[in-house]
Order: sequence, then C-alpha cells, then structure tokens
Amino acid sequence: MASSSTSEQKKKIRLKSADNELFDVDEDAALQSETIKNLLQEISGDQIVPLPNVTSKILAKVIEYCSNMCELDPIISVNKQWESFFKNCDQDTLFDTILAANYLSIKSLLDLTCKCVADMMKGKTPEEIREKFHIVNDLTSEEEAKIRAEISWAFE
Amino acid sequence: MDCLNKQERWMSKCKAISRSKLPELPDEIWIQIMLKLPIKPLHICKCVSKTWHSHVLHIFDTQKGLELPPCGILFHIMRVPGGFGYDNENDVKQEFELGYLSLGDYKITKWSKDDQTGSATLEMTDHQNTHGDYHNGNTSGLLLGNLTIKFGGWISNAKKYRLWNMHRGLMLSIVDSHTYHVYNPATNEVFVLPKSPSQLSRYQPTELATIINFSDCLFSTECNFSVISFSKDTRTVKSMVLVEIYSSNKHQWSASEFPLEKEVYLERWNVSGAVFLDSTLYFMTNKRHVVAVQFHSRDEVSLYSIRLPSCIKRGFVESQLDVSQGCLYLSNRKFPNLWIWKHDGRSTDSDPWIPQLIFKKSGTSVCQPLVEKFFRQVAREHISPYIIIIHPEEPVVFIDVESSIFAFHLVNGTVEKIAERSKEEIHLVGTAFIYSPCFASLKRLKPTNPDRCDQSS
Repeated sequence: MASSSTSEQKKKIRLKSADNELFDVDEDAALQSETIKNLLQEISGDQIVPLPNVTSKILAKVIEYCSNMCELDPIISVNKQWESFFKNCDQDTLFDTILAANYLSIKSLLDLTCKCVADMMKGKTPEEIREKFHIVNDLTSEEEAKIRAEISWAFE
Repeated sequence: MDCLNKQERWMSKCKAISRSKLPELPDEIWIQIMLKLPIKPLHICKCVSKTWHSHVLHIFDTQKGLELPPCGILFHIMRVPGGFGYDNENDVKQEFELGYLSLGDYKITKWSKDDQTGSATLEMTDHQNTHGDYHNGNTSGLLLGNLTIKFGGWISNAKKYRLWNMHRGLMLSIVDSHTYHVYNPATNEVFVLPKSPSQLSRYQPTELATIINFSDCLFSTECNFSVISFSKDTRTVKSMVLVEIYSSNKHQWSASEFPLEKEVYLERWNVSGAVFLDSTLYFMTNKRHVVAVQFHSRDEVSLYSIRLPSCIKRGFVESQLDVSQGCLYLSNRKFPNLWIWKHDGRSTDSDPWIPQLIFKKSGTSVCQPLVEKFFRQVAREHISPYIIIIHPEEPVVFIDVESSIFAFHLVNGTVEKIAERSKEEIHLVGTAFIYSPCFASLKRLKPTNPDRCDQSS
C-alpha cells in the first residue's frame, strides 16, 4: 500500500509511532528532524519510517510543531505560541516532548522545551526543585550543608 | 543503554513516592537545561542531588569563557548637600557615592540608596533582557539573572575607604596603611587581610596597595587573588622598593626588594589607579613614569619603568591608564586639549606610545570629524571634559561633560550621549573601575572575620 504512491504536489513522508499509528507528513516538515533525514537515506523509496521511541500523542505534537516551523509566518510569533503551550501543558507531555525532540534531533524544539524547564526552575529552592522534578536527594546532610555554605549568596 | 540502567535505579528509588511516573531525562538533557539558567539558580542546582551537583561542575568545567556576565563602570561621585548655593566652604561636607553605568546596553542601571542606613543596592535585572535580545532568544551562555549587588556598609564607610581599588569584581579597601579589606559585593563577603610583615621592618608603612583577582569570576567557587603592596625605605640613600604580596592560595605574605631608578623612586605613586594586563601591573607616578610590575610564576615579580610621552609632566594628576581590547591605553587631559595613546606592547622602547586621538584647541587635531566637532563645541563653552574610562572590549571612550556622560568611538568617530547625572552630583572624582561580578567565594580564607560588611566596625 505504502509503495503505491499517489502523486501529489508535495511529497509526503509516512511515519509510524511507537503505538503503530501512521502519520503522513510533508517532507519539508519531516526533514527538520535530523534523525528522520538520516533514516530516509538508509531506507529505500517510500517505505514507512518507524519511530519506536515516540508515542502517537507526542508525535502528533511534534509534527504540528515542525509544520508550523515550515510556514512562512514570522518564526518568532510561532515560537511564542509554542512556548506558552509548553509552559501550560502537563509535565509528562513536556518531558516526553523533550525526549522526542532529542531522539528525533530537532534542535529548535529541544532548545524551546529545555528553556521551558529552565524557566520552571528559576526562583525555586532545592527542595522545591526536587519536589517538582521528583529528584531524590542523595547528598548527605554534611555535603548539602557544605554546598549551601559555599553558595549562601545565591539564596538571598 | 546507560540511560535505561539509570531509569531502573531511579524507579527503584522512587517506589516510595507513589505518584511519580515522570519520564526521566538523560544527563545530557539536564545539562542542556541548566545551561539556560541564570547564574544564581544554576548554583542552587548544586544542592539538589549528587548528580545535579556534578552536572553543574561539568558546566563550569566545560563552558568557560562562553559568555561573561555584562559589566559596568563604577565611579565616585562627589555630592555637596545643599547644592551649589552653599557658601561656607569649610562647612561643606563632601559625600561620596558610587555611580554605576551598565556597559551591556549603555543604560544607567537602577541604583538606590537608603540614606538612613547608608546602604545601597544595585539591581542588575535589566541585563537579562539585554542578553535575550542580543542573542535572539538563543541563550547559549550563562545569564546573570536577577542579581542584587549590595554595596551596603561599604558605601556607609566610603570615607574610611577613601582609597580603594578594584579588579575583576573584587575590591580592596585600604582602611589605613596596614589594614586591608577585600570585599566581594556579588557574594557580600569581606576578608580582612593579616598584617603584612613590613609593619615590623624598617620600612615606613604605606597605603600603596592594589588587588589582582586571578579567579575565574563565573565558574570558580573559591577566590584566588593577590594583594600587592609597595613600601619605600626613606631612611637609606639607596632607592630600594619593598614589594609585598599576599597570596590567597598561600594565605601569607611574601616580600622582596627591588632597586629602582632614583627619579622614579622619588615620584609619588598612584597604585590605586593600577591596571592589570598580561601578568603585568601598571600604574603612574605623579611625574613622567609608568611603573610596571611583572608577575612571573610562583608570585615572583620584577619591576621596571616606562617613560610617559614627553608632553605629560604631571603623570596621574592629569592622565590615566586603561586596559581596552587587550592593550594598554593612556589618556591625558589638559583642558582644553585631549590626547589618547595606545602602548605598543614592547616594554621599555624609547617611544612605545602610539597616538590614537589628539585634540588641540589650536593647531592640528588628529581625530574623526564628529569627535573633533564635539570637542570644539565643548572647548568653546569652557567646559572641561573628564575621561571616565575606556570600554574594556571596544574602542569606546566614556567622558563626563557637565553631568552628562558621553561615549565616543575612536574608530567609527561617533559621539553619543548615554546618560545624565543629577545636578547635585557635582563631580566625578578618582579612578573609575570596570565592575563585573565575581562569584568566587572568600569563605575559605576566614581566619579573622567580620562576617558581613555591615557588621564590620
């Protein structure tokens, strides 16, 4: 089925998510991912590109982002919209998108999502950061006291 | 994969935390995220966990020199309470204040002073925006963020600290000939230096001292600086100079003696106005010389002198040294004339000074037309321009002309008014310094405290 390609104006790439959902994506949008670009060179012709590390929910978002980036609108305003989306989405979605952007090597998306996490960290105490990102504190109390003393100025 | 292993470990650790199933981010992503943090939250990440601590150290090890926080000029302003109408000159109490001019965007940064406590804080929030703008949102470097520099008690003791000197974010305050305080406004720490041995020697104690900060201001946690002091033996005929260096690494003073030409030796030295470039410290005398102190390995130094251009006869009284774009600059103001030279880098050549700008009221000037026009106008109005400092990275000279601060470009020849001071701040006095915060701590050096500047008597 996939090989019987229908001729269109824009070339489409067919992607398969981890949960076996198929997505038809404009080539321009798909090529924003270095990983997909490399995969396309390896597989022949019009085969489906399997992306076993990305779920359909996240992949849909990533594709939407890539398509937006291909449009001629000023990138800055598009970026602002996406920034506010990632700032307001749940943390799972944000982290999964980071992982997907990393796996697919889409630099602009990775930068944007990392920036959102960094913004979440600003102005927080170490306790709040641990709570927020579920980090286990494995520093001994002596170690922690020592580090805190070193950087006491940063807490003011 | 390593990452999977981690995830397993993490999962087992987190069994206790019932609601957690947050996807784990690999280390390199956390590092990428941390790279987008301003300096304060980045330091705070150190106390989150062992892994995060090592991430921050990794960033500090590998990102050196990526982007330094912006800097500004600190200068002394003299105020006369009551303003100009005040007649009795003896009653005029001079007040000194610090002015701060941000070099990031050429805007005066908000500077507040609490008159009751004499404390002053400097908000540097605007720099964050500046950086964001400059780099089109692509913030690859470290941001300064919302940093409040507290000059606090330091300001209230301004009179006591009449003599002070600054290098790369650290200040040396000379309380008296043998009490030196090192103050770091970014971390709000003070270190009182132990007494130098020359107090016990045959030398007259002097106030000739300066600080050199060798720390990596952004990335090191501990300060590495030297304080160098000079004493002249007034009782012997030989012109020997005693050079004492306190090294923060060794926690002690070391001393050595150097002979110097009689002429240079007898002139007055302006050590507070010293600049440091390529392991050499330069300062001017009150007549015709620059004294250069070259640092070699293991705190060994050597001394030599450089002749000033022949038209300078009163050294630091009428001229100053600056470091810009890795070169030594010399500027001379003899109203209404103005000269700026660059040192050619070769130490003692007969004439190492290359003119960069010559403005003469009468005669031929060597400067860009716009700059010349500007100075002609200033000269016509009989206003004396005061050179504040030269930008450390650009050929831009900051000058004060009747409470306005102008910046002119030595190469492009543009003149720009960048700030205005309040009318009651009547003079700029003394040497201006480039201030950029140093985040290295003085903590380890604390045999004698006062803990905080405000508490020191």
